[in-house]
Amino acid sequence: MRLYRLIPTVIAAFLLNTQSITFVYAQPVPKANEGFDISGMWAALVLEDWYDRLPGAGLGEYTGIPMNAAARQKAETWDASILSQPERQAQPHPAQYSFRGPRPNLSIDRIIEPVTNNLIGYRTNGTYGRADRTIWLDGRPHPSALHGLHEWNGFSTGEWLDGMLVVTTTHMKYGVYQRNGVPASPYALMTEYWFRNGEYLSMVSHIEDPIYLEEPLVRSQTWIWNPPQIVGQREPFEPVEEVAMDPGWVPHWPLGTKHLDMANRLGIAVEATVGGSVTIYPEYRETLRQMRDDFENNRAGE
Amino acid sequence: MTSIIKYCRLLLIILPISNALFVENASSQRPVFLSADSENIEILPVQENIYMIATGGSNIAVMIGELGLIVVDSGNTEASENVVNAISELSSLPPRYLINTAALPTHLEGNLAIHGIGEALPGTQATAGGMGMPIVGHANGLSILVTEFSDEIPYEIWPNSTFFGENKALYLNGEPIDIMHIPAAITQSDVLVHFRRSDVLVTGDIFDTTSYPHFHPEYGGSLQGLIDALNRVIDITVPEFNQQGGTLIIPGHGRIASESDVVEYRDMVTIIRDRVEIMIDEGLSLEEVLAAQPSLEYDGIYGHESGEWTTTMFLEAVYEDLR
Repeated sequence: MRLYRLIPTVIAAFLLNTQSITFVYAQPVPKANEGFDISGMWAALVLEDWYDRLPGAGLGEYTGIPMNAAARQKAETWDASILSQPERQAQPHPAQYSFRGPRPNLSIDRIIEPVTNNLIGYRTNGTYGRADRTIWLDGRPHPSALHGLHEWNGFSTGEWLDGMLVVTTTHMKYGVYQRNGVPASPYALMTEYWFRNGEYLSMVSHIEDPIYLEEPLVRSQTWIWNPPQIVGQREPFEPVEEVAMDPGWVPHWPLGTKHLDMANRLGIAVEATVGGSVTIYPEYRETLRQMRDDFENNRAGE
Repeated sequence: MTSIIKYCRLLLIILPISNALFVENASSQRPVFLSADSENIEILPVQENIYMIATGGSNIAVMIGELGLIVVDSGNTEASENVVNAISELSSLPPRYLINTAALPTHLEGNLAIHGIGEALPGTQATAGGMGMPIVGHANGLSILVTEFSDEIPYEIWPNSTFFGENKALYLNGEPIDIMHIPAAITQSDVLVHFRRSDVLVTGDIFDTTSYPHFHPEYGGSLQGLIDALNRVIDITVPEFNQQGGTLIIPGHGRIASESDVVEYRDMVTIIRDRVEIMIDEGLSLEEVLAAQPSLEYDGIYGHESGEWTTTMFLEAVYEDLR
């Protein structure tokens, strides 16, 4: 076959592709009451913290998390076997973590008030275990701080501020910040900043937790607009008997357990793996260097 | 790819901005719970025909319906007037039964006020020995009241419709109500109350989202009995989807809950029990156990430095129970 015969096909493919790209960029951003629209299908890019989000951090890997001593004790004694409890097998990821991984690809629907036709909220789904979240935009109050029900998805309200959709979430359940047992308390307050740049949608979450964090935990996630995407069906998990166990079985590691896998694998001091606010700033590199030098000096002296 | 890189740069700019916005405008903290002598209350719908009235003494459950009300627990005396007003707001009909989940003052101090507005259904007054509206409780509670609280709690507001067995059943407003005796948890007199049609379980102090469990060995309570009771609660409750919804729970104190909240609480009590048991086996003294902080990760959620039931008191009780 002569190559020139492929020219029309190549041109057609180019035009189709160009049209597709143009279509993506030219898609008018529908106006919500104000701000921009986040409804649609969004594919996770997982550009940030890939290792922590897809394969997931291992036991003892708490880098980047400003956790306190109480959180560390909870995480270090957390045994993954606890997820085999019949009462936990069907637990979804909590709101404090659900947009972190795995992926998730999102389907975001508008909630329209049937009489006025106003946009009053968004509903997101696609997170692990289908803990769909609702973001109310109609100014409704949060439930009672003292006595209101807590749910995996929490209770979220949003408002437009400086070109961002700012979402405040309370009433989350006792959950995790990472899949390796780093705890999140039910008294956390999560603020998310959503913003769009063409076909990109990003969200920066900012979590303040008076029980388990020394300072706010700030993380970001990014998605790309992906209209053909299909998000999985709504199927609830069903607990089954995974292992023979006594009623009330609660697996946990003994107090004082240290998980050294990460430190041993990377050849770094275990102190650098256990999180805490001092470990998340660039200045901590000097501490690491000092640890390394001390280690080398001690070894040379032996 | 170029646009992605640009976008990542944008993120780097926005991250510190968002941080600054948040720090200026918001804060989070564990709520300040109602004190035991507070007159304040809060009324919340729970599910179907069931409401919760939160008081500083205990939470109160109210079932409404066309034949009248059933009230579970009565809270502290300081809140009684507000509780009576709240019940009147929920329904113009009177309470027909009052149920006490334990023979403890915080759960039945307010009996007087609620008994005062109650009206027995025809025939049920006889079961209460001619003393008006039935106040249902387990018979084991009477010995606690006789020996410990006879001066503090007047006889007229003690349970007057008691049962000796494992269960008592009521039916009102088309709703079956199971009253299940738990023999040795917080006290020897605890009961769980399950509104089966509305699917709401009232646990009394067996489950408390505001505190470590305050079990009373002196009144027949025990640590293992408490863990057994929490497992019983988990057996009874059925979540609707993803371990939430379905059966809702009114705890003795604190917020409305679902099964997974009890699972966390059960796990917490069990883990602390296991840790202290190991320490006792290793020969550690109480002081050494306290110094080891076996409840550190839970103290921020359930612990108290002062008041009627501190973290130290709880750990001492666990230690004594296991020793």
